[in-house]
Amino acid sequence: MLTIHNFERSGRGLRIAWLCEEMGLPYALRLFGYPPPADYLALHPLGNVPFLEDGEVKIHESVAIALHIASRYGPTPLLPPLTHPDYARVLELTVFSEASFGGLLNTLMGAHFMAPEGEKQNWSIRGATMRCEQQLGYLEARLGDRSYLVGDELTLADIAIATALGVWRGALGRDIPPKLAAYRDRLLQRPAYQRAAKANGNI
Amino acid sequence: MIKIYHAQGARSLRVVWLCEEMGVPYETAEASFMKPSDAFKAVNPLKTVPALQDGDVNMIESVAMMIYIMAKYGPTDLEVKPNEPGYPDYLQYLMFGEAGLAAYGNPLVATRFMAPDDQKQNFTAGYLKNAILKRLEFVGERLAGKPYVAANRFTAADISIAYIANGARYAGIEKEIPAPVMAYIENLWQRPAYQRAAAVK
Repeated sequence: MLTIHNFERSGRGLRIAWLCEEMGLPYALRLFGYPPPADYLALHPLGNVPFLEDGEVKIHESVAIALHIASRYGPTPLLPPLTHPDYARVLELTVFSEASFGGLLNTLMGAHFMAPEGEKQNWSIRGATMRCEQQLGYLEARLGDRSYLVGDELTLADIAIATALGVWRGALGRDIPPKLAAYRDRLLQRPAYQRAAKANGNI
Repeated sequence: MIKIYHAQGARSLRVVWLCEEMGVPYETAEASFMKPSDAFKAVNPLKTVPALQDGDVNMIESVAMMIYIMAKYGPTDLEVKPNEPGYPDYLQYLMFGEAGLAAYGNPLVATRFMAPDDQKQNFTAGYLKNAILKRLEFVGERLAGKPYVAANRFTAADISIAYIANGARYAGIEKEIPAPVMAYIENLWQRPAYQRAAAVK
């Protein structure tokens, strides 16, 4: 059984629950508020989320968790094989959701939730916000008029990016460019997403 | 042949180092975030270093490139396979090297070099510095003197983590890297493939 530790409603744990739902894998969500409880810090001293327990496997980093699940419990069309022409792009955008975009989201959330009033829009935050907007432009151009970011069906890239967009809008209250917003709204109608979001406390 | 859009000391070092370790032929092309060439902007409109071209494949994100190159040009011991016990840890550190560590460096470097003087020590600069140093302490504790982060051997996860030494230097916090982590990175730097990669302009 997969156990996903997560802050209630947090988008990064939702990413993993949604993946499990799409793959038909049983999982348990263990939800808590901020600050995390002592037993969680004993398990994962950094205290960030999500964290996966899968038998003897205990790892953090949501994209690593997603790749672990897709590889160990696949094959799945969510992660096409190397021989598929979309392989590189799926990898790129899945990593992008956390490395490029997610790193900036953490910077913005740090200020949003913890900075004193006069610092919430400091120089660094204005710069990071601008970079995020440029990255959203990159994603919007990648998407074009298609239904999915890569190819003609749902991949890990969509799950990773759509949940990152959820943090941008949900936690930070920012606007998503129109095509990306409509794309995300469509993905959120998927029964697998709906089940995961309910389990995670989002709906 | 693989073409890596590269700047000495930037994240493209990960990809060049990986190719040197694997013996995969590659060529480099100039990449600059501040002064991007038209060719580089055409490959990567975000101007982030590196970008990669390999036949019909054109991609960004250094960690994704490493996974792609190992899958396409392997097998290689630098990659841990899903059926090996070290696989989950390997994936964790491979991602953590960028998403959990180096990514915090970008806004810190921007603040150090481009912010007005009265903003260089703002809340966010302190937040980012603390985030990086807390995570480096974590790496040091988990290493506990071991030479590699995962699978008891040198892997792409070490290449991913080691980049933080460069990121920290640009951010001006290299002297604050915990000693056990710096010793681990300096040991990795002894590898001939690293030394060849670091010399590529």
